[in-house]
Amino acid sequence: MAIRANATQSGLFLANDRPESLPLLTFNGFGPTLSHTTILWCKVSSPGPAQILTHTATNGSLTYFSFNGESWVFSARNGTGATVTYGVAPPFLNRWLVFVYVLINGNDHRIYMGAETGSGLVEINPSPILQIDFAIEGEHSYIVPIVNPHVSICNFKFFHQALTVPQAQIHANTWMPEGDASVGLPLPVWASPLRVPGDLSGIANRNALGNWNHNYAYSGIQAPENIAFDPVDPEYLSTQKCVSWLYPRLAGTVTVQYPNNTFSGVNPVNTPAVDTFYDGTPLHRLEDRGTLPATAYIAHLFQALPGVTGPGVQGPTESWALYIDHNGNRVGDTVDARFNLITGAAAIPPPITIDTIYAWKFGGQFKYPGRTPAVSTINGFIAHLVVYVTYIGKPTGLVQLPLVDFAGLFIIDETAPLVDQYNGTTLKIPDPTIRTAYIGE
Amino acid sequence: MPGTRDHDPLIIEEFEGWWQRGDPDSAPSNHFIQADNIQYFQSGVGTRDGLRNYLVDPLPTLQILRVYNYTTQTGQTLLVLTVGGNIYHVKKPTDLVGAPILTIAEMQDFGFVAINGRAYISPFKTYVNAQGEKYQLGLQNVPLYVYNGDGTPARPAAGAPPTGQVVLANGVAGRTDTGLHFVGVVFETNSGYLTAPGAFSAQFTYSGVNKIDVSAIPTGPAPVIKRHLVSTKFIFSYNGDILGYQYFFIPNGTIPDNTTTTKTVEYFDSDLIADASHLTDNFSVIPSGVALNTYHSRMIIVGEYGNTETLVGLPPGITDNRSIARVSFPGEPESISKIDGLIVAPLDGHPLTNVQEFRDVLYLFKSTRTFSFSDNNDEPVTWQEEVLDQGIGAPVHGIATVLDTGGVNTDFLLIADLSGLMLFNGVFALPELTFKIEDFWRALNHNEFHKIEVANDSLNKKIWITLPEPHRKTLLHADYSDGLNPSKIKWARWIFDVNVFTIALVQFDRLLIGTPGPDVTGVEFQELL
Repeated sequence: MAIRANATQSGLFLANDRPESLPLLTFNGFGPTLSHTTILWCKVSSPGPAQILTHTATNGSLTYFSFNGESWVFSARNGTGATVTYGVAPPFLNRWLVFVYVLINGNDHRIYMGAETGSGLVEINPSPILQIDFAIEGEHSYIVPIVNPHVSICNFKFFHQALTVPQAQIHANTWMPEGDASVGLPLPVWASPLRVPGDLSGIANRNALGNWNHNYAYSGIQAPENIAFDPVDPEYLSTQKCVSWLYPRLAGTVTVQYPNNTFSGVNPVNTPAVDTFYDGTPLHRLEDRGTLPATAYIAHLFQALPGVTGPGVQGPTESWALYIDHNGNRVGDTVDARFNLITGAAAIPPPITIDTIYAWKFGGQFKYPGRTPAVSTINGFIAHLVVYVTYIGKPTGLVQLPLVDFAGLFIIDETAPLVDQYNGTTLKIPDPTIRTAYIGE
Repeated sequence: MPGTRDHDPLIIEEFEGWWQRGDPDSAPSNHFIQADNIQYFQSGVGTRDGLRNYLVDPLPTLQILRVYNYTTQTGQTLLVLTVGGNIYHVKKPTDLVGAPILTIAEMQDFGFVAINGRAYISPFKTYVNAQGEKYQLGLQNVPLYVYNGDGTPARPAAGAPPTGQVVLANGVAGRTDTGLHFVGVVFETNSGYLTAPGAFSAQFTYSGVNKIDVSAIPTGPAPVIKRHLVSTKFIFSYNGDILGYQYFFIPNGTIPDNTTTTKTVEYFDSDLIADASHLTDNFSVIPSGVALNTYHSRMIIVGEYGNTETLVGLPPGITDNRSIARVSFPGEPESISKIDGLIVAPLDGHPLTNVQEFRDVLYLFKSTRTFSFSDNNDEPVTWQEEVLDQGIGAPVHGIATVLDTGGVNTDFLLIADLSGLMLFNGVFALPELTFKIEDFWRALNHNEFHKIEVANDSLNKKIWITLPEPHRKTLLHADYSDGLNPSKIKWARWIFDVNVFTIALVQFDRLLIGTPGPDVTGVEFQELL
């Protein structure tokens, strides 16, 4: 299976451990703007009440799906305006539903819906179940599932578009739901892996908080602007729980396109005399570390599009996966690491193991075939679009971290917040007997 | 309202910390029966400080087993041992961690001392006897290592003597004594170690009117940076034992490199003053032990298993040198005489575990024994032993290091004995500093006391102690700002989500924690409250 995403193409792809065996899931009849599409999977296992909330706090706008035990209702409120509601679908108990938010343009918000079929596929109804024609600040930001124990939610993790890759990684390495505000960066929206029944029920005051961007916004989702994304195969989810993803953003990928020279990257200017590999920077680290313990590797898909844009010039002809393992060793330039555009397969080099997957960095490299005499590559083109990693975690209700996140040297810091921070993962100080107490005057 | 219903109000003037001694109901009213993750300050108590990364770039992942402050001549750095037997030199938090300076897969722990900016590293591990008792000794046939602090890999300390044979010939006109002489070569390594003489010449009779041309001078391995020529005085009648004569350094007989193979010398026998004979008896490979320290500019190693050279001729049933302390020559830490550079502690079956100088006296420790020795300006083997205590000792990391010096001396020692944390100022002060939490301390597994490490922040008057299972994620914390005595010291437990294997104080008084991580592949995640 190939995964592609760029400014003119959008698609939803089923992904599981047998990706090539499943058909492509597409929208029929329309092309949603990828930058304003959000997808949420949901399954209700008993006819109890449930709610999935989309909320933007600053102007009071509010949208949410609620399930009353018999059917789903979508409600929306524009700022201080009245709330309008729409009946959207039958209950579909024990089946995976997918709600798809799409902003077509302006205030034209549409919501599509699909449901798991008997064959394990999800068909998206090409007609929107509803259409909203008023501004909702933040569009579909901050979807928060408010669930009862009989509802499972699987959703995603995205980062603020304004963040650079290093900045995103700062947040990605932080367990705090709101990211690490201390560094003064635009805040990401934290997302969760699969929320299993009962998972969220232990969160105190989860329904009472006015701003889901803080505190207990454990499952917020922000629109995946310019991001390639994949929903999870509902059939797979129903039996294998949730997978996790690496989603580097297009904004942080490499495009080399001379002579404009507006992008950083590699271009040898003149073709090398022998076959030469050039890194397609940057290398991405797994961004959803800290959400699930990695227990099994599923697949590693790497997309890099070499190409030549002008006549008489030469550009890269092949793309290869490039890894940096947890010890900082480069693993690349091997035949096994070659990216297969047809199957998506790229073997994991032996030094890398699932136990250290959180510390890997993924990227790509490009091969310029040697040529004598040298030929200008001034219009050579490299597009390194997507690095996609899938692995299995086991959400047990208590999120776990791998060993490597907790090993190393740490220092007691009396100037830091009263938390323990392990390699960027923040934990509360375990149960102090006393917070603070003074002997009175 | 005083006196209401015959109840007088409790007046608490100060929090006095954790109490776990006897029944909880017996705890004094100003003590806590539970004191987890708290710290004390004047007239108050609060949540302990948080933890953060020490290294700016935490890659590669270091599963830390042991950390030492390593003070080089340019600053304070760290040596860390990780799972797999790798020792890394961490020069500063912002530096990337490079390749390990030493890798010995069998190494579970190591002893360390810094002398003249060089690190002496002694790999050791835990053994288990037939009774299930654990004890620590240096690795068998694994030497003491020396690391120069420059990032180049550590190498075995000391070194082998030169091999081969130098060639002597009459040179140009000169003046020497006449008669039969032998000439040999001594290597000098980059750590200043002088090997035993070797590469001796054949018999050569000096003419008295020629300088001596020495050729075929052997070059040494990489650590060798200089070579010295040594010579006998005139030998009236050679008896065939080339090592049986006294060798002296030849004046101006130093070759200041490791490449030149010829040298011309000219000397009289009366010029031969600097004796090199003692080098012949030195270890070329020094056995590793469990603890290193210095005393009167000598390096001391205790807890030796031994090697093929030292394990020869032992009495039946004896398989190691557990009660031997090796003592170097003053100012020459790698020069240890096999003949008289040793101290033998009483052979009671328990290995030596620690060594410490205090107020000009050398103390050797076993797990429950303390012995003292004093330098009598003679060879170490002649130093008189005094048994200080036959009930109190120290585990391998059980003497508190002070601040970031890597040393242990303030005006007292803090020693983690099986009975409690002891204050030692020449005698062991009783009751123990852990008097208030005696039930907790006494419940610790005696077989695992080698996992206890003590750090003393004398600036802020705080103590930290790592603990064995099942308290591996707990640091015992004490605040002695109100007094270092059993009644005024305030205890607490600091609990983390990771196993705290080792501690050190950096930047004078900042507590550094080294951990291999949790004891499972993941830890339970606790949301912030």
